[in-house]
Amino acid sequence: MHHATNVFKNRYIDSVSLMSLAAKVKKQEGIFEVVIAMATDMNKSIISQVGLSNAEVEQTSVNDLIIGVIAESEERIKEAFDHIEIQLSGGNKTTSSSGAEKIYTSIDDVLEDGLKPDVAIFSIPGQYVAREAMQALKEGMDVMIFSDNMSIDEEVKLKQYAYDHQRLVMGPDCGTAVLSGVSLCFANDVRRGDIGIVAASGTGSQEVMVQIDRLGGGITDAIGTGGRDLSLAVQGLMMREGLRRLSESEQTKVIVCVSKPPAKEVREMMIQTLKGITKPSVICFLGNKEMIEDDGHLHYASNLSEAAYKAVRLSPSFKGTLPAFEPLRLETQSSDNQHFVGLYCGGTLCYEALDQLSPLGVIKSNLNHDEHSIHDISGQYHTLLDLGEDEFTNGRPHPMIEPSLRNNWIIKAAQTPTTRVLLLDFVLGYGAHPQAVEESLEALKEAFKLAAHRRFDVVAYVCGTDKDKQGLHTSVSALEAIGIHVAKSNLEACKKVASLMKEGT
Amino acid sequence: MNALWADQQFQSSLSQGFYRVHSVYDHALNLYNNQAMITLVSKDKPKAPITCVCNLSSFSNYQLNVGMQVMSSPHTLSIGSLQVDLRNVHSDSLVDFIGCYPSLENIRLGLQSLVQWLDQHAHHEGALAVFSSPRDVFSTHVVHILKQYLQTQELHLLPSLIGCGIGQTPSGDDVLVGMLALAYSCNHLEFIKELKHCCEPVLYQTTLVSQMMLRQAFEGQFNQWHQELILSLSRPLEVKERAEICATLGHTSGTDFMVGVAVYGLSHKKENTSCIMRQTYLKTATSTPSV
Repeated sequence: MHHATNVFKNRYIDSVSLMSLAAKVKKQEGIFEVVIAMATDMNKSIISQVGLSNAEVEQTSVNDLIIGVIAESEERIKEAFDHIEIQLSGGNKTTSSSGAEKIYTSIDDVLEDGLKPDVAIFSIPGQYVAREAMQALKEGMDVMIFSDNMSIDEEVKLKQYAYDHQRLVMGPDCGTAVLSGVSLCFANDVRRGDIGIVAASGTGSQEVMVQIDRLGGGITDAIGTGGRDLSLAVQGLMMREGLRRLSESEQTKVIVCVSKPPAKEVREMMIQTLKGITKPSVICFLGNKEMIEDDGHLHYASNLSEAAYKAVRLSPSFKGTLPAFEPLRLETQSSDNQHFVGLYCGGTLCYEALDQLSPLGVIKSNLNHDEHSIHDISGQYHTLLDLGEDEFTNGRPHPMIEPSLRNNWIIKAAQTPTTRVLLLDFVLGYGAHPQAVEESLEALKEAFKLAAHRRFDVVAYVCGTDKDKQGLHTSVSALEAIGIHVAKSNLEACKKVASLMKEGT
Repeated sequence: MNALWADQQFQSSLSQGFYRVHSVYDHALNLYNNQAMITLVSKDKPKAPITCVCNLSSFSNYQLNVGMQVMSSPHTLSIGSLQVDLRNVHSDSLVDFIGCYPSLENIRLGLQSLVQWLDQHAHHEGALAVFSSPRDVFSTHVVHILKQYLQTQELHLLPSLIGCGIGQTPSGDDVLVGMLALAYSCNHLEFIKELKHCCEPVLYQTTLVSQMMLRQAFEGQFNQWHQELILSLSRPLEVKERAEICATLGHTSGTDFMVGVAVYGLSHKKENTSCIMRQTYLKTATSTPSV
């Protein structure tokens, strides 16, 4: 006879569900006994009496769930716990009507079961992704690669294969996509419509889809490409494949193309590709300093809000009226000894702020790759940090997943005596923390206390919609309740920062 | 979404410290800070101490997770996408049933009716299974303790019920709450005081949710359905109907509570309780193997 006891930390499941689970497991062949209980002292004592205690059980607290199994063999015990894991992962209630999920450990297993998925999402160590992704491509799937650390050679090889076979490789390091209305990884819950997005930037894509939604428009797809796609090496292979798909999509009437500045040669290639597509298109290459006039069906935007605005204006299904778009025109300001500090979760939002706020003086940022590169709050210059970059997330979750990681930075910014304005983004939606705003409120209250003796303002932008699970209204209200200026777009947040800096102390 | 009812204790507790989500069920949401636990329940659940009844059918659509922070103001409570408007909440007191039965004899028929109900529903997954067949190693222990208690009337046996059983309110705790409810309705304050003295040192050994429930019960605070069951004991025709309602309370908790009521009624030898009831209980209890 064999036995094993596992502990499930901080699990709360109602007693009928637990009894039902125990009964189901007990019916399995070769299972003699199943004991399930919260780890109270009395229950632990009884579990010990029936010989199912172990060192881990001894260390439990009353919030933990203990499950012990006695069976004829180790194999039966493993089967029992596999079943229990699946039942428990179904949510708090094992009586859920959703049915059991099956967990596959390889693409082969999926195919052997006769399934034909359309998309495979990879979030595994970068060195293993290329082989698995190629297998998925060869099986006819589109691929989304959340992982980074893939070599550029592997990326080119995968994307060339995908391009030749009219498949998508979204990534590596791609966190946002919406395909046929299905959101993958980080994305917002936005209205369906007739605008298709293809983007080489995650939060850039999110900002455009959110602003489209707020203006009354809707999207068909948002195809991610990964940040390196428009490099000379990759030649925009997936941007081109994305554009091909959107051009052939009956539902898509307007195309938006978003990226940080591509290599010049690649930019020309993209423009030529778009010229060959007859649908009205909006091109937003952030940070592009050249003023480009609209040309036929090609429209240019210098920031994400403008891209969304132009797309909605071009959308044939949009029947409302839009107020005139107000671009951000900032005057050069002397920063004296007062600075703004931007602490961003969203990389492209940070990049847009870096671009838009540059007239205010020298901005140090980890997004700079020159003498203005910095990885800390300067104190002597304006600072913009993308806290989602590798140097801040090594071994830790991305701040969109765990926003509390930014809290120490918020305190540090308030403690820096030259910080006049603190600029923050909060990204809502699928994949983001369920309380993206609330997790930082205590730190923000503390920041106001620390800076109570001087003029100190906080400007925030919440990138999300009313339909996002975190609740846009709730999030904005919580911030406004403690005296934070909440902007309606990242661009408007930049405007507010400039205005407050102009007011001075 | 509006709050329909909340007691004063809930409202005063809300302003004391920062709460986080402790546990999420379809029809209940427990919030706690380091000092207290408060509860939100759906509209089909009874009024209860330190609880707010909300005008919603289920919490399952709000994507609430353990550990989420609670934002509260005097008028609103927000957790993620869940917003509860407290402005028009009713906060009338729960029914006071303490001392409503000066003698157990007055409710003899009601207790008999309750025990019959327990006997007829032996298939139910609640604690009445304790009286027919052991549902698990924990119920076997509960039966063993109750059997000893009925034979000896030794109060010091009862604390070993605490924390015994599966779920967030283990069976042993629910049985104790049932005993306390009937004891309060009979105004047996000496029994309550002694039981509290025995149990208080070991209350920490049960789950946080159950600790709160027992502490309230020791102070004479019980939920609406429990109170209505106790009051219905003097009206035997109603007691089965009440028992049906209580059986749905936290699934097993309601029936465990009723077992506690029955055991307390049976255990008071000074009162002239029915021989039939005693025989019914002993027959089933002794047929259950002990630990």
